[in-house]
Amino acid sequence: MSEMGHERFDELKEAYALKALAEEERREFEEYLARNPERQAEIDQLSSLASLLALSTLEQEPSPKLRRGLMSVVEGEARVSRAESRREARTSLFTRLTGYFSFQRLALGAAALAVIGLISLNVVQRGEIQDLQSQIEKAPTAQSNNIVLRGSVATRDADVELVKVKGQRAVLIARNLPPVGKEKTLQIWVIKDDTPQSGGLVKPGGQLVSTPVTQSLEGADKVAITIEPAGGSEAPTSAPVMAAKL
Amino acid sequence: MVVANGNQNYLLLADEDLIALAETGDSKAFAGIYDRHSRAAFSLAYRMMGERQTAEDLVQEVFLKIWRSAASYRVERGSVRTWILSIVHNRGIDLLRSSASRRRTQDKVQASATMSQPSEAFAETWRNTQRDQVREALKTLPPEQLKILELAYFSGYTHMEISDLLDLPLGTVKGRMRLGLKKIKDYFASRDLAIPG
Repeated sequence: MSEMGHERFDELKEAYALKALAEEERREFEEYLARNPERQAEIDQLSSLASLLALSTLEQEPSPKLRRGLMSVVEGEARVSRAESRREARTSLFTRLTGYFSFQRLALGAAALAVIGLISLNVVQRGEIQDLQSQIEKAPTAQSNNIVLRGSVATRDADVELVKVKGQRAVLIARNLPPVGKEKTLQIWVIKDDTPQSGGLVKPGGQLVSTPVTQSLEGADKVAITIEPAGGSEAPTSAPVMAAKL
Repeated sequence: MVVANGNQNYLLLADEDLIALAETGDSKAFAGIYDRHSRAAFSLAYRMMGERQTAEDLVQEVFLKIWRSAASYRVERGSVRTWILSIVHNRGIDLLRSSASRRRTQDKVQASATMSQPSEAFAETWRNTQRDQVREALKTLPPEQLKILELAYFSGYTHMEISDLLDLPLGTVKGRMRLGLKKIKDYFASRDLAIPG
């Protein structure tokens, strides 16, 4: 088949916008579009015009049964998803850390050894730490992949880094975080398209702390830390004290 | 910034925010999307499939897809409504073109032609301004152009099939498609109206 030219494109573009091309023509058309992306805007406009036909239909009401059936499936899936999240939360930190630190692909270098050894004291059992350290020591050193969070005056002396580990997961490692008081906590937010999702809590204490970020960084634009009431918030209630663009 | 708050009033949230919440597994946000757009989705599905049950099956499939892949919505590609209607349309075309559903006959073409008559098709009370504008825009089309657009858009016929069905040269079919879409565009441009999206 000969390659589509501009003239043939012009001849078929309306039919394409109306989805009225045969399969082979459609493929040929899309190959042309891939080679000539500057013509995509033209197609987008024609497609917008074609899609107006959808608004010309006589209004029809779907049956209430459709909504009931659909919501029954949706709510069932939402329940399963919530139960899985709870189960995941109950999984020990050790399991999660060893998961993140899938050692052949570990993004931490030797520095992480000391960090993990020190920082985990607050959150995992000593036996687990020894196992973890032992496994890390056996792992090949990988290039670190850290993101530094910058802060306000109050957090000027703090060193906070996100260490990306497996896939789009990360561990937050911090030193010298300022105290926030008994009634407060620090909370991590992973921000995607201006929507913050909680990435877990960080309780300042000791010289070094770490916590796995519970949200994937995939597609995220920023990571921020705010001061929140103890227990954390559904959404940020204060301005970030530290943040980093991803 | 979307706040996932158990006490929030979903009615006050924009479609884009509801989609973002649905993406996090918020079934109430999804219900909000359904309540706002199921009527338009069903109207399109019914117009395409011609039967209530098939149309409801199609709408159910589409909304489940939306629930399970809300993250695939991209605001830069258009409104949530346009996105939902495009999924209904694409899936409807697939069904119409599948061999099992390929029961479209000349009768249906005739029925479609009848429905294209402005006096009948536009007798309904339109619910909102955008629908009114689209109705007015389509009124400017000669019936032979509107019929070809509808056969392609609602019935899933290719331009070559339309040429066969109506016994018209392929060039005439393409020409009517071109003129039909151009008239719709001109309608909005001449009134300085934004094309609903």
